[in-house]
Amino acid sequence: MGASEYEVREGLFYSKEHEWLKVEKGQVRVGITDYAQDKLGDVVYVELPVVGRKVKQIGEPKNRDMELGAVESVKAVSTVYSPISGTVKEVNSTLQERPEIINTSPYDEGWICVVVPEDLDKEIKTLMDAKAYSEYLKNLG
Amino acid sequence: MFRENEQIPLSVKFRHSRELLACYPHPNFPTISLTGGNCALNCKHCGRRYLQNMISCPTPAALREKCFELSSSGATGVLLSGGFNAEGYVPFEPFLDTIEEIKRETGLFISAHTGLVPEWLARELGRVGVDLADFDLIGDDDTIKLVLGVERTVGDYRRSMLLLSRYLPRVVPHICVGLHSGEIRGEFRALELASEIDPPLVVLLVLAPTASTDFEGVNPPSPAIFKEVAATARLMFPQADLALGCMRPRVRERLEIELAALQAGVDRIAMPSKQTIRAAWSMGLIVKELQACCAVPEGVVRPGKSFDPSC
Repeated sequence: MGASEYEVREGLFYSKEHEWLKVEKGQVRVGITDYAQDKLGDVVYVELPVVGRKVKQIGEPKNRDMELGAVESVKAVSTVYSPISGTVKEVNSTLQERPEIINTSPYDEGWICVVVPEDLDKEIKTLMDAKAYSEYLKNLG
Repeated sequence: MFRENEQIPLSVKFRHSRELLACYPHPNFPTISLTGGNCALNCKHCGRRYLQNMISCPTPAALREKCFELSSSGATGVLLSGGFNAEGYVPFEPFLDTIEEIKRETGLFISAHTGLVPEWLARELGRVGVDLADFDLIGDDDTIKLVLGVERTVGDYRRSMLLLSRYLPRVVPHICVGLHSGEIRGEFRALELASEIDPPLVVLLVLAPTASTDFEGVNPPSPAIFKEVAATARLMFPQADLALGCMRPRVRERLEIELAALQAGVDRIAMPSKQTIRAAWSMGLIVKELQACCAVPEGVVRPGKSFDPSC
């Protein structure tokens, strides 16, 4: 698939590691992008974060405090990093029984968790909007 | 390691080494489909689904370009796979010269998921430099008919395995526990057959009911039954590495299957869970990462970091 064939949804914010973030009232919803799910292939397992866990926004160097969990396909494991600092409020436990919905609905049913952010206004500026993320995908080739 | 007739210490019988290799094929040891999404068979457990997760290189030119690209980006090897033709093997014929060139120019370790090869193809795969055959070994005629839907027999599988072991440096039997719709049928027979080639490594898989296949709704074998097969394999192959491969259930009973494998004495697990890594560590094992397919022999890819027990 070419970069332009992946769905990049307007109104969401994106990390370079291909997580998306949707701002809701006082909280954010997080998942992985259409590009990420396609590159992984059939998702067979999702490791979810524990509710109440504090996470840091993805940065360099990466460390465990930035990890929300992992998504596995048959031959690959991919760490899911947090695009925002905060506390995990809710997880999508449906993914434990039906991990494949990350493939079929990465932006809707396949959300991973809800985080209550610590400093949304500051940290969201470090993420890409839909236009910037589309350009980023094009540059990945 | 041991002289003939020397009694093998019990610890070796039950565990080949004090290490557990956690194997991660992505990104340095990818699987390539030489047939794209096509397969002449429609196996009940796969239904061509597995092909969708492979890199598609359906022409020699595409294979050449992809392997050279992988080599320059740090890959150590590739697993050449794909759909089967009506005879039950991956049609390698058009790719032989290209495989030879890739091997010569890149030095990539080349594994081939072959299927039921005729002798000429086994000989050609050896000639062009294939390093290892990943061979699905089935030990029950009814399972072959039920799952693959082809009129082949256990004898055909045995013949292909012996041919491959004649012409290739290594043959690694892969035995899927519960392949007969979740039932145990030919697994122990397959282990007996595998012992005929004295393999360096045996890979055990577990039927993973996969969405959009005929086996979507079947129950995989229980962890206890898997453990029985794995423990038998451990005893039958005391000096071979034993691996739990990547094709296995990951949603339900994942941890139980991985722990059963550990307790049975496997040396390698493809992408183990964190809980399994912690359990291995508590058993006194050193857990190391191998960035390759679990069937790749030691020495081809050097094990990487040891896992921290607090992971």
